[in-house]
Amino acid sequence: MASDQELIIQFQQSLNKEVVFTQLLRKHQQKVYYQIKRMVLEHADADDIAQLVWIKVWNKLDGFKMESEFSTWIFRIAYNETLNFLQKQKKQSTRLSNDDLFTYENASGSSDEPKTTEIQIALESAIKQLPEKQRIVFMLRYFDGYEYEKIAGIMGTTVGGAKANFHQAVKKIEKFVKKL
Amino acid sequence: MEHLKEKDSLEQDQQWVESIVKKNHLNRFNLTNTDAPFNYFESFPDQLMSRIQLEKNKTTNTSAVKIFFINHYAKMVVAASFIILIVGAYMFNNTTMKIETLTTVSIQEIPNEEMTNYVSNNEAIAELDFDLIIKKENSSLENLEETEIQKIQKAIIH
Repeated sequence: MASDQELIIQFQQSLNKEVVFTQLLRKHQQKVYYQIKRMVLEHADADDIAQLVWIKVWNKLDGFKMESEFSTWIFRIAYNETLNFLQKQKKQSTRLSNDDLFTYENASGSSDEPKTTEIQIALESAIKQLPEKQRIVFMLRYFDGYEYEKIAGIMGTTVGGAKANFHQAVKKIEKFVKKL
Repeated sequence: MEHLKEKDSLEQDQQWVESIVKKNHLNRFNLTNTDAPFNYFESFPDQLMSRIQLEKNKTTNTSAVKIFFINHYAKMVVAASFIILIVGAYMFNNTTMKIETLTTVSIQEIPNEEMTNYVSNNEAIAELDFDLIIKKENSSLENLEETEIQKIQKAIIH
């Protein structure tokens, strides 16, 4: 399978761009989609954002100078598009609502030992209530296993900033889960 | 800060999280939030490419419209400049011709025959004019009083 760099050069030199672009798309579409989905949670929203991301990639790939990895570049576009979407949807954001708190408190108060589903709900609530930056760093670091350098590249921040965000995210999750 | 330094490696970071929340709970969370509808990834490239094609067509149409308008205006400008050029050239030519005729023709250059012809052709008119003047003068002389006539006669004799 051709590397990203080879495919990009082919795309930039080729007249039949669709074929090369589809190869790049098939290679990265799942990770891009999952990154977005974990942030917005709804498939329809994730699909819309993913399409916007790939259209941007299509429009800008001719000018891509390969100064960074293609995956970092595309995840950064995805990150920015997702943040834009979340800012627009601030009122319907995925942060913990009063209803969620009520459900969580009722569930946890019903027995001495928290059940798996309760922990699951609590964990989801904890992650959902994290500020966007902390949430994305947590996802990229824990679930995707990215290095801090890459996370910083995606988010347009420093390595120290990315580490601090992860640290704060874990501390908040810990505080939330300890309530159980 | 010490805590941050200690937890620099990926493995350490993951272990730290798993010490707070069980790994299977984290995995379940990941699974529930990274699912996609059946065949979504198979159909996504085709959907996206058709959307890109659609957007491309839109842009080409808009640019075509723009080009059309630019051409339309360009045509107008070209036509206007052509008209200005033709009118300007015509006016310039006319003035130079006039200047040329005025400067180049002098009396010495006119042939004698032409001059004689002109004089003979215009002799009748000249005579007519002369006659008219004399008649006018005569009429005015007729109106003169005798004393004024005598004065004139004296002046002529002296």
